[in-house]
Amino acid sequence: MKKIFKYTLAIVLGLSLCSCDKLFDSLEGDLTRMSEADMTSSQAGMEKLLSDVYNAIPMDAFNTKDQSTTLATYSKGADYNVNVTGFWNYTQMRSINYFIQLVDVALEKNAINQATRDAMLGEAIFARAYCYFAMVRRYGGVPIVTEPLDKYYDGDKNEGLYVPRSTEKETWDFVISELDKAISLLPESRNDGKYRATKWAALGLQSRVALYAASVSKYWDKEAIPANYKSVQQKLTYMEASYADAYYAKCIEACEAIMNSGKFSLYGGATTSVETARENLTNLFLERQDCEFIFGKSYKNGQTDADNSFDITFSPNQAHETATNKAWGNYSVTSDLVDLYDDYDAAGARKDGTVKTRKDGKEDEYFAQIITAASSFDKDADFIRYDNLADPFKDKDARFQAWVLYPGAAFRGIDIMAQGGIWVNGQDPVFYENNSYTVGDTKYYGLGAASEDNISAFIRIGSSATSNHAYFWSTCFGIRKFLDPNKALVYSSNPWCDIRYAEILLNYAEAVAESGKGDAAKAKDALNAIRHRAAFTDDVALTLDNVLHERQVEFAFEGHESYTLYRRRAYLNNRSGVVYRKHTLLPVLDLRDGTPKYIFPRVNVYHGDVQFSSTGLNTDQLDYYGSINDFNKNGLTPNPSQE
Amino acid sequence: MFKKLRRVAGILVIFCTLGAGLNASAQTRTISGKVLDTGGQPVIGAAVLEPGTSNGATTDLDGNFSLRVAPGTSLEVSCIGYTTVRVKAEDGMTVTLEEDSEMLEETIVVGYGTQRKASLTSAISNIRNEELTATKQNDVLAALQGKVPGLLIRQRTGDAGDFNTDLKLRGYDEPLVIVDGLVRTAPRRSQENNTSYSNSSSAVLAQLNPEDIESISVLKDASAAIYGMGAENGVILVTTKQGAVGAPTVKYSNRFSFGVPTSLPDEVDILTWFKEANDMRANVGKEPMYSQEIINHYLNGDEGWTDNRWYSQFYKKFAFQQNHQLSVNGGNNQTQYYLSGSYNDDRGILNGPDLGYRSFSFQGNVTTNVTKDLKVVFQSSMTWNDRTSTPQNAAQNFYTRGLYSERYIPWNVPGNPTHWAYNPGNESRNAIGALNGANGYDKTQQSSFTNSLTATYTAPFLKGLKFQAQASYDFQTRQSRQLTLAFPLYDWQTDELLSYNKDSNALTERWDKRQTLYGKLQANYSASFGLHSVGAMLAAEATMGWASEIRGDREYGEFFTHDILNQAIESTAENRGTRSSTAKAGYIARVNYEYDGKYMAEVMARYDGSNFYAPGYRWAFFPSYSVAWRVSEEKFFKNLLPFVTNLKLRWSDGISGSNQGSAYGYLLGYTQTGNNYMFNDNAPVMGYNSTQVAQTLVSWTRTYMRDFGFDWEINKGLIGGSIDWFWRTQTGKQAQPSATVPDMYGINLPYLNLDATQNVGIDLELSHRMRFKDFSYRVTATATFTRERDTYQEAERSAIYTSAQNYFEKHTEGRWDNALEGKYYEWNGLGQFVSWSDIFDYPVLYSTSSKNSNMTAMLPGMYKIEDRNGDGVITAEDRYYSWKEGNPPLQFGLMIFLEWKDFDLSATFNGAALSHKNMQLSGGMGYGHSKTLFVNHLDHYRLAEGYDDPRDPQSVWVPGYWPALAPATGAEDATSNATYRYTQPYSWVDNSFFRLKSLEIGYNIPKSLLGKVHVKSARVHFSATNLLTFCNPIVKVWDPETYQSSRRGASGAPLLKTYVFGLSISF
Repeated sequence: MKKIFKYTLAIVLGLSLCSCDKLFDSLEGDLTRMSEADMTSSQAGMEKLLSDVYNAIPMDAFNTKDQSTTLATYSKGADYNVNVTGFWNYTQMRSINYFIQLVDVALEKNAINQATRDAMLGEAIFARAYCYFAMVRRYGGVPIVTEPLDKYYDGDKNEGLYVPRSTEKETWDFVISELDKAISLLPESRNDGKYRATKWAALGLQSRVALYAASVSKYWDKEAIPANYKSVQQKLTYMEASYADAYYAKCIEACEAIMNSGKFSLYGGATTSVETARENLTNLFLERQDCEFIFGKSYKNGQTDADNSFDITFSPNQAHETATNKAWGNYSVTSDLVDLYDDYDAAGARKDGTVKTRKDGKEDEYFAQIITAASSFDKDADFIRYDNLADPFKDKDARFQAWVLYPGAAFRGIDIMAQGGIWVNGQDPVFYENNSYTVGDTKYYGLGAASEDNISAFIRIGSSATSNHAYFWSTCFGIRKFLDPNKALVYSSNPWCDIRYAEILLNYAEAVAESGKGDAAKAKDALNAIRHRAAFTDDVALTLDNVLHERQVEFAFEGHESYTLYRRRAYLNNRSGVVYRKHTLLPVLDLRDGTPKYIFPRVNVYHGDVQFSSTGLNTDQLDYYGSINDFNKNGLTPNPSQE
Repeated sequence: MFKKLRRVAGILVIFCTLGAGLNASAQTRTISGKVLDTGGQPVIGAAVLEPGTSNGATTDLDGNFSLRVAPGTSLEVSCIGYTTVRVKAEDGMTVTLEEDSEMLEETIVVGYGTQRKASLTSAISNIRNEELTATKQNDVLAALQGKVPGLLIRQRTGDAGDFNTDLKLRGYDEPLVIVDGLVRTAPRRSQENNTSYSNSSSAVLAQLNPEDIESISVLKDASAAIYGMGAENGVILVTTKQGAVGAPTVKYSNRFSFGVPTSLPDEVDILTWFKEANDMRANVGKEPMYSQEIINHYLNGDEGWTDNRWYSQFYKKFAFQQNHQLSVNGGNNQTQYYLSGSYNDDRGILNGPDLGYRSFSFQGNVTTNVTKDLKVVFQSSMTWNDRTSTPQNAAQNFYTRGLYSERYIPWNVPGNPTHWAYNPGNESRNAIGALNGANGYDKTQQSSFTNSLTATYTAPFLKGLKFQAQASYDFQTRQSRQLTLAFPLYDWQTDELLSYNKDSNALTERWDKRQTLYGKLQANYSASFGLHSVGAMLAAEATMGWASEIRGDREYGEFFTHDILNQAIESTAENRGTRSSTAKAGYIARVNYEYDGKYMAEVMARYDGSNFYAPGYRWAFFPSYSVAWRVSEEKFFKNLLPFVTNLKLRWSDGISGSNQGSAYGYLLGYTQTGNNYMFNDNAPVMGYNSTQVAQTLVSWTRTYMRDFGFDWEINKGLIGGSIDWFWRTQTGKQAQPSATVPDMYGINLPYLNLDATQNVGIDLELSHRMRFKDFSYRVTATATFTRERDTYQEAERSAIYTSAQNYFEKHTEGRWDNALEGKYYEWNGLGQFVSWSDIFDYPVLYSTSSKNSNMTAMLPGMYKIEDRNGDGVITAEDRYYSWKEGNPPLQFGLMIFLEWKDFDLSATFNGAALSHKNMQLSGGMGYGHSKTLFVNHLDHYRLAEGYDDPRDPQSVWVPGYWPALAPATGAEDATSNATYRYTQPYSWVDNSFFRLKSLEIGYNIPKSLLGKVHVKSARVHFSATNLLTFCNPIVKVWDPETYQSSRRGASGAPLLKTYVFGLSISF
């Protein structure tokens, strides 16, 4: 009996046991996903992962953020708040951390060679540093995760997952030292991708990061956060002026490395022709200009030609690709920025560019929301009466002409119509209404044209306000930078130049001006090189004011301004009362003497009143640090505004 | 090794032959005899065997047999349905077989073996072919309906070849279907999306030829666990017919069936429709829908103005179906065979010339005794089927668009029938044109081959020991081709081309293939030692499966050429393809013990592996046991209650495993992110990343099945029955832990085996049978009540409920509510509004804004909605949880078999209760968008004579069942802003029903007439299905059994009432 069972067991088990776990291994495996081994066994596979690493980089491509400053506004209402976009994405950080592990796996398999491995590792470290930079400037010190944490999940206490915040200084230092690693790993030039990071990209980013850290240190006390907050005590949101010098020195070092390399120059170079300058400054953003392009992103997609929608977003109502796309085009530029652009004098030297609207020179007088003449408008003010809409702007900086649309500007075969009112003799002026008046034999319109299709600004703001007013500018200015000069597009294909040589020059000028370190003469040259490209013939002194002024006019709509205010702790210093206002010129057709003339009263932007005390706007310096996501769940010290 | 076996086999064959020869030449002689039943009728096909030898014979039509045997030898005479007897051989003998009324001695198929019914310790129901085919049905599923307690079957639609019948055992998901020892699935078209298929076991049953089936066993409790993965929902074991020793028997049967919809609502005549539609518009303060000019055409009887009943036009007068089956069965002692073929053609009820389903199937089972000890069975089957239906878009929009068509416009231009008419109501979708093929087609051809080879070796050295090896290979392919066509639509009056229907010309072709390879080694042992009987089984099995699919799509633009891909526009080509493989393996052991037929116990275990999980989590152990006590065999019981011939208590408890999640989830995998990054201009590189953490910690889901039951029988089957209480708990369903992890982890938590659900219920069976001379009858009633709940939901650990409604929807734990899909939240009604002033005076608001909102939310005849939370406004918070639509939790059946002389009658009833059907007013029912109103909706609130303005508060309303006509929920009538969105008590109608599922009357032509024409037996039958239905008249309009409550744009043909004539003859 026993024997029988033994035999049976032996036969049944013996015949089958041998094969069973092997059975599972004999299958084709997971055909829906690629394994780690698949990804690391070829350079092409590693590049697929690298593509994801690059996509993790939080470049604010075509995201001007200037509406968060005084320089621009949306029609629906203006933002003026401490609004630096947060980045809190440890999911992508995990992808990068995996990739950093995998480059060595691929190298071991000889799937990539040592040079490729170094370059890829450098790129991943660069991307990760960029991510941490985006975090530290928003949150102060953050948890620094440099490896995938999957292995620490144990289903119990998961202690390894609770990485604490590093101090703010440690985090800044981490980003800078990581960039040092990237600088040493990345190649100086590469023929395997124009949009892949080089040593110069890492240096460029390092100059930006170091300048940022230096500014935060130096101006820490300016709009300081009281010391009683936990995160300040733990130095998680804490810097001090004594740190600044080292960071300025690092910035100067990085800038000099780029400047001395001889590889980069300003596109177009110095010129005395405003016409040439305007052309150069337009072309700078239409195509990649290698001499100035240090790092950025391509939108030229091989299949669809383009996949970027800023043309639809920024094109004025008069110049959209189709009627349906007219629902965009409401991004407006304020006169506060326009006034910053200098005029040329007869010799091509700098002249104050504040637009002249009145003979009495009271250019700081603004009228409140003028819907009807009954309000604050001063009918007796002595306005300069211009013959043409474009006349007040004719001497302005080539950069203004190339990058800002203004009333009367010629663009894509049309003249920009941005007229806000009409003043007929014997009557009160009428604003924001498209009524028609016949004077002599000519019919005139309150907003400049009979059809809304031929108007770019001010529609339906007043008594007939509807949601459609959002299709039009609420100022008389719009963005021209990045837009194709000839035709409207659905998708733009311009590259986004994230780090350009002009920034390096101005970073250098700022660092030298701020710290006194570095070569002052070289810094002055750097500052003026920017101006010479814009056809200014004179030189200005290396002062902080001059540097910051150049930054504002050079980098308009490139997203720098809000960061500059932020890092210099200058966001709040314009706060002089409970209400802050953005401004525009309101071109008014003046028919009082029968011949059409234009006056340009300065008014508050209709939707531009920003009350600091109202909800939804950040009100104090605590908001220089953003809210830590789920700080309780994450076991992290909250930031001051959360306490 | 093999050579040696062959030599041994050869020697054995020689010995056997010699032995037979010796026998023949000794003192044997030919003995003739007759086998009769207790009524004196000859028993046909009874086996007469000399035990221990292969010497035997079967009885002929008159019950006669002859056999060469030594007189005095003990002979065993057996026949299914009769008690086996042993008699001494004697020439001219008459053997009387007693009918095996108890059926307890019957051997039934259980997992990996057979058992005597009396020895069963588990809840296993058995259906034999006679019962199954007593009522001729189109498929096995329909034939099973109402016959097995616990088996819940509900037919969804009447579409030809759709196989959309729900099969649930005790309320669980679909049970596993095992045909001749092998797991089978077949593709089933999904009801919701016409082009996707899932592998379903119910489709296997639907496609089997009922005539080929020998028996079906349903394993409902832990006894199913022996089949491992997939068995947690129970197992249906199908055994096909094997050949029998004897001269070839040829059997032919056919069936011709004529079907009409069980119920179809009548459309009102067109003038009534005009009036009702205009009244509806008036009720909401809108202009009339139809001008007096159009109405006058009909009042004047103008030529060309016809009443075009689109809805009625969808269906043929009747659906015709035919079925033919032919089988040959026979063999000698060495080899037996069963061969069959069948042809089925079902043209369906939809009124299109090319629509329908046809299939061929062949089955061949051959058994041969290679040696005395080695038996080999080869089984092979092939099926091929072909289904043509309208393309997906047409099917999905079929009813809606059809019903939205203006009835004064014909479907085609009068006098030019190939020109389909433009109709503004149907959004350029002419449903009748689509039915006639103008919109293209959807054709699917499937073929499947299954082959298995089983070798059984009976160990000569130990009685009761058998070894078995089985291997099978299944191959299935499906090819489908879907063509959609744009077709021109013409003005019905001028025959001018107006527009095209909304589809563009496009072709999709897909091919897929599935292969399954299975192998098993098994050893069985059984023996009796005095009063002790023992059985043991050991087995190891492995299954591998491969599936692949390719698909191509192209468009034609405006110019349609041929329906092959190459003839369409190349630049529009899209293609896709997938491939996958799976494997599972298991070791199985089972031991039975029985003492004196009184006490029985069984212990069983499986050790299962699956490729889904990480090494280390792949293998799991699933034990189960069952015990039974036949109280009726106890002496004291026999003395006490001698008339109770059977009383058995059973208890079973066991675990089964099932897969969850996806294969290889334990590996970190990388997939396309969908985002490019361009290293160079015009050179996008697709990103890859890993978005899911490796699921290294999950393993099998465990299903605990418990069953307590007792079987009883009085007076050898006069009355009998069984009751089973069952509990099933599934634990370890995969869920994401609610534990918090910090963001720095950067990924979602891995799944763990966390969630649990529970089913409980009761199965009942009651039977009775009697015989008076040549009249006998049998009645069996079955009922099942089952419910389900979540007993643990990890998500609830971290849930934050935002409102009472949210709580109802998200909190399921511990609530007997998510049973069988029927979960609804509805407002409560407090009596109907009888007039406008009644609505205006109702103090509760239907929206916070104003009293006027009541006017756009309600109409006379709608219900006052209870403001449950008393805040004065009706919101979602005022709803109650209720258990409404879905699979009914209580289902029952009744079978009646009558036999009188050569006549027989069988009837099967089935029914369900405790569920409701949603009869909510909808656009598809004439409220709002639709251009048709059904007669049953005429019973609605309407203005009494003499008042013109329905919105005048003074108007008097005459009550009806339905509210005043109004554009209902979702009505796409842009001119009406009325909401009318509150589901109302009249929407939910009790859906209990009881129906005569099938009725069959058969007549066996007497043998005295047949003998002369060499026909062994012949039977004619008339049968009908869905002949009678008892239910609420409101749901009856749409048939209570289908899911469609109100045909709100859903596809699916109505269930059919069929009349069948058929004949079967065997030679």
